[in-house]
Amino acid sequence: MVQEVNPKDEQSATLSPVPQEAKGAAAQRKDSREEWRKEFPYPWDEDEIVTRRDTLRFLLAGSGALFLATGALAIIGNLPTGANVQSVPVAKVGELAENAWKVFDFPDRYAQGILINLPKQGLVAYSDVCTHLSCAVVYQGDGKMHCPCHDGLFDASTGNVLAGPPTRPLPLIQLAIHDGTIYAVKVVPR
Amino acid sequence: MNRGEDFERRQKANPDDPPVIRPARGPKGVLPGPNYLGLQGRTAIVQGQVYLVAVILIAQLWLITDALYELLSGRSSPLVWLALISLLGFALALLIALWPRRRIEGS
Repeated sequence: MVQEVNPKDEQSATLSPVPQEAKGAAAQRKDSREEWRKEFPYPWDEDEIVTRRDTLRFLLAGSGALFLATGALAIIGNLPTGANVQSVPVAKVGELAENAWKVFDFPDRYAQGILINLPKQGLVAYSDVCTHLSCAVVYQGDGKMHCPCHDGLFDASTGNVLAGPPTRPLPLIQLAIHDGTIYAVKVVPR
Repeated sequence: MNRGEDFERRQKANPDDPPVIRPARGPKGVLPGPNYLGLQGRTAIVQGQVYLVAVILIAQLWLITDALYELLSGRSSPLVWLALISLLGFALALLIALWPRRRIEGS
């Protein structure tokens, strides 16, 4: 058990003449105070003390690293992409009746789009990945696309958000018609 | 007690307070305290540097989070601006960390 010692008492004990018994008691108290050092030796000299200046240097290095990482993201985001993407046939002209819809793979088999034949607008296509948490949206038949995960609603004529948690519109897919075939040409992020 | 003394006493929140000694002013404004180059003064300066750079670091964390969000959302136009703002934060952190050192240590 570690015993606390008042330094003032210890100092007064050393200044005033004391009998031999008191000296023995003081030595015993000092021994008991140093007892924890024997039980739990700690190499203070070998410890690396982190100073404020070390913290400042660490924060400065972190600031530089975060800038480099943000710059790397900017470079990656502005790399030219999509040069190898070719037009993909998605349906035949007249294949879809009014308010009918189909899902197709574009630009590769890991991403999908939704093609809808709207009554007054004709064919429109969007990425079917919900801009909230990436669930697949479906067409309801009433001019609205529905995300079943969190009840997000999108306008089928524009792709804009009508209701629910999504905040951004669906990416548009440009279409082209050639020789009676409908092609998906390009994804336009918005 | 004449009117002048009475007016002077009413200007103080506590009339028993000692008179306020205003800090000395130099050609560029208020001069630092007499012990600003002592241990306590330097400690306070470095502590302030740490706080300011930490705030900048938190702002940069927000910037990189937003940059990643924009990148994964397929929008690349804000990324350059976010990188430039992050660069501005880093430059400000460099200024905060290095400029007072020349004043303190004279190096």
